[in-house]
Order: sequence, then C-alpha cells, then structure tokens
Amino acid sequence: MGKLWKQCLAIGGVTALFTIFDLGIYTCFTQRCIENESAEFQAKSVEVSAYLPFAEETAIVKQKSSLQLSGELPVLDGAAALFPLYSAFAYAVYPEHSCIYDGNDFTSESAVQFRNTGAAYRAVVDGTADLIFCAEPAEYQLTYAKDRNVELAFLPIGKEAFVFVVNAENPIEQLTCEQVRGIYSGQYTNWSQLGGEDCPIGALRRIQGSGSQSVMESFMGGIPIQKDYDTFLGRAIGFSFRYYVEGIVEKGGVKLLSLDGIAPTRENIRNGSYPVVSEIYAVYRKDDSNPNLKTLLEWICSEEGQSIVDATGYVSIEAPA
Amino acid sequence: MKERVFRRIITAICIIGTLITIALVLYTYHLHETCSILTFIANERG
Repeated sequence: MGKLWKQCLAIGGVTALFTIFDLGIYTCFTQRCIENESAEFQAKSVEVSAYLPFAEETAIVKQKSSLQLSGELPVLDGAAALFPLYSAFAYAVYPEHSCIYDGNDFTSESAVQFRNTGAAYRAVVDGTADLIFCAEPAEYQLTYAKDRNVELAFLPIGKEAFVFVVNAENPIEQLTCEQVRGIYSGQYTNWSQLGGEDCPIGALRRIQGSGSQSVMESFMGGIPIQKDYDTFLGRAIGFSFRYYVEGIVEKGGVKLLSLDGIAPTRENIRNGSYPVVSEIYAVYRKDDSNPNLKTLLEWICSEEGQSIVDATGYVSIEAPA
Repeated sequence: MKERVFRRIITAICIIGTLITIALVLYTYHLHETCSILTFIANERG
C-alpha cells in the first residue's frame, strides 16, 4: 500500500472515530434530554394558549355559572397542573374582558395570571394575586409568608393522586410506598432489587419549591432524598400529579405505577384506596379585602364549582350527587 | 502528501473533533439540567 493511501486511511479513521464517538454521545445521552414539546410548553410547563379562559379553541371545561362576578375581581394564579382548572373557574364566573392575554403572557391588568407554584406563592403573599391554586406549600414558602407577617388560608377544593412514573418499557408495574421511599433514600439502587431488570435506578426529583417536590418531601416523611444518581445510565423513575401526566402532557412512552397494588385512577382517589392523595388548595391571605373573594370561594366549594373540578379531570372534595 | 502536511491535517481533525465533543457534552449537560422529568423518562431507550 502506498504512503498516500496509508495517510488517507489514517485521516479517514481518525475522522470516523470522532464521528462515531459523538454520535454515540448524541444517541445515548443527548437525545434523551431533548424536549419534544413546543417552546411555550418548555418555558411554562403547560401550553397556556391551549387553556385560555375565553379563547374559542380552548381545552378547558366551558360551563357558565349563574354567578357572574363584576367590579374588583380576585386575581387568580397557580400551579401549571392547575391552570386548566382555574382557567375554567374564570370562564364560569368572570367577565371576558377581565382576562387579557397578549399572545405570549397575561398582561399585568389581567385577573388571570400563570406564574407556576413558586412565583404564585410569592404573589399571594406580596398581594399581586388574591387567590392561588396549588398543592401544599414548601417550608420556605410558609417562611416567606411568616417573615412578612402574612397569614395564609388553605381551603381544600379537590383531590389528586401523586404518581410515580417510569418508562413504558420498564417491566415494573407496581411498587410499595416503602420501596419508593427506599429508592429515593438510596437504599435501592438497582431495579433488580425490586424484581426488575439488572439496571441502575435513576431517581429523578424536581426543583425545591415546586408543588410535586413539596408533596414528595412530605411523602418521604423526613427521610432525606438522595441527589439524582445514575440518571443517564439507568432506567429512570420520577413523580408528578396524575392529571398533569395524563391530561395535560399526555406524553406517550411513560406509565404510571400502582402503589401498594392500587392504580392511581379517579375512582381509587375518590374512594381513598390509592395511598398518596394530595389535596388541591385555594390559597389566599386571611387579611385580603377583595369584596368578591369570599363569594368566589363559596362558589368553588358549591356543587357547581365542584362539578368543574370533576369535569376538568380532578376529583372533587365531595362527589356531586 | 508531505509528512508535515499530514501531521497538520491529523492535528486539525483532533482539535476540531475534541472541541465538538466538548461542546456536545456541555450541551447535553445543559439539556439534562433543564429538561422535564417526563421528557427524560419518555425518551429513555427501550
């Protein structure tokens, strides 16, 4: 073989090695993290424009109420998973002109806002929102209120299953609560310890202050949650709320695990058999002077308000007759 | 091809390849930090 051929072979070989190595990284790792939702979803974790209260093509429950509020309207805000619900409340009892969406976000004058859990808790404490819809708060959110001498009231308005999610190809179908705690405390690090494949467990968690992370900490009952481990090489497990996974994201490729042998269905949430049911709260300042706040809260807890909770996909506090 | 030219080409390929690999690793790390739990789980290989 001539010298030139050898040189060309060496150049081609080195190029091929880098290409194969980088393609391997992309296929095994990079691709796993690429979001396939729209830019709006990635930015806000919910397609706000799909759930606007008064848009023609909205996915919310369109149920007008006999109660129609006017004058000074309570500003609504809340968690991503609950946006379709409080957007439906706004549609039912607010006038159309009160909700102003500029195509990218709600304007500051709008009576409906969407800032997600952490910012919504700050907003209700600071007085820029009157009523927020969230899961239970994190400790630091309560401290934020306490430091500002603000007393918050928590009114349960519905129930939702806190769910654990794995890839659809993962052969595991169910876990016990103790096994889940064992995974997140670092006791179980391989799926084979739980009857699954011989593969590391990648236990994923959310940022501090998110609704689901607060519920997870409560679920762990004081047991420290380990940092994410083996998230690239292992098969992952994560947590969320049932309606967020099934109703909002509708993401294929994942499945909800049964806990203690009970599937997270609406029926099992309602009859109390699913072991990790989280309450959905309407949160407000006890000293909020908005004249419509009390009326709105009473309406949300009424049969009409609770029927919207059910129709949206959550579980009402009391099943409508 | 002269030996000097050959070495320069190999060196250039190695430098470019290494830079691309570093960029890809950094990009992947950034995605990993920002992508949602559900996306990460759904994109898991079967």
